[in-house]
Amino acid sequence: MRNLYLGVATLLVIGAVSFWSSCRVDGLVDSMSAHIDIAESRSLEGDFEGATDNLRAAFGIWMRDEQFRQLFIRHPDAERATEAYCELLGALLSGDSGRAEGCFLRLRAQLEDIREMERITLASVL
Amino acid sequence: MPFCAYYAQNEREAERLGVTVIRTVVVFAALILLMRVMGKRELGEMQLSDLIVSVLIANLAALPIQDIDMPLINGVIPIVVLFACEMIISDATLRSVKLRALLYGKPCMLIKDGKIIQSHMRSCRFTIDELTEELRGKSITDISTVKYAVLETDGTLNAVQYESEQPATARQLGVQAQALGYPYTVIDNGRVLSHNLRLSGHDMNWLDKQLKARGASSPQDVYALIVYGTGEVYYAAKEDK
Repeated sequence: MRNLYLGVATLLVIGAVSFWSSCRVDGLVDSMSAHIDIAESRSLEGDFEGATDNLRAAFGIWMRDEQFRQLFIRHPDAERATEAYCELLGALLSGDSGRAEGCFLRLRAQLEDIREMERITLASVL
Repeated sequence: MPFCAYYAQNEREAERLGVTVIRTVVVFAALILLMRVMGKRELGEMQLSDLIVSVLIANLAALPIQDIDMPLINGVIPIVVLFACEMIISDATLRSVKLRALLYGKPCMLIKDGKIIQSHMRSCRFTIDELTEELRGKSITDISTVKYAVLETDGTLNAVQYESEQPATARQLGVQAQALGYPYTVIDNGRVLSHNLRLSGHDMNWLDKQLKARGASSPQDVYALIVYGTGEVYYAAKEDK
């Protein structure tokens, strides 16, 4: 019976860690998305400085969770999100609203990709 | 390239190599620990699920070592999950005959009373060449001398010959066979194994006498010293000191 209990306990622990990781990524993306939404609306209004501040706040949340990212998220995925942020920041600082719009889409898509991969769905399994 | 950039680039390369080395050690240690927890079964004859787990783990273990962009936990977790599944299956099959038959199949008799059972050979997809090869491995060249031959669930073939073909035992000959008793390794490559020495019923004084009688000045000069229950001793000195 020892092996049975150990095997079941191991699977339960791994399941719990997976669920926790999924919730953590959800929380991370939601927090960042709140700031990104505000940044986008400010950018559309022409307030690039305000948009930059909100974007920096979102990136601050991203960087604070660096240890979690290193442990649980594939490094290329995390790096792509960071690159998308940098490109968006460049567009906002240069006042290019057209490019900024595209960069906002790219950053959101990247973060949603990370969120979807952590979720247990048929799509992520397949 | 400026020196700082060259230094920084090489330092990053060295760090990547360092990460690879550490990951390799971690994965290796994890595998050793998991195999140890699994027990001796996986090291011996493998059943179907054991084989599948071994093959999968061999491939999975390489992933976090080769791809350092993958978080280490992403590489180790699949291995741990496989081990957990294998532990559950091994325990469940221990308790359920039906599940054992479902997962591992049943042994298949290929020879009975000296005759090959052709229908079983077909269902097991076992050829005559394979059968004779397995029997030759057991020093059996005449199929008609085989009373039973069974293809086990782990793929090995076990054969039992007719009693008249088997070597005579000491009891059948009415001969008193000398029991050698259990062999205890007392010295292993220069190291005295005190626990085994005690179990063999001897002490260090006895050991010193044995070494002196064989011209050894100390246990460090001895490669192997094995004591049998009858008191006989196998002694091998080290070839190079």
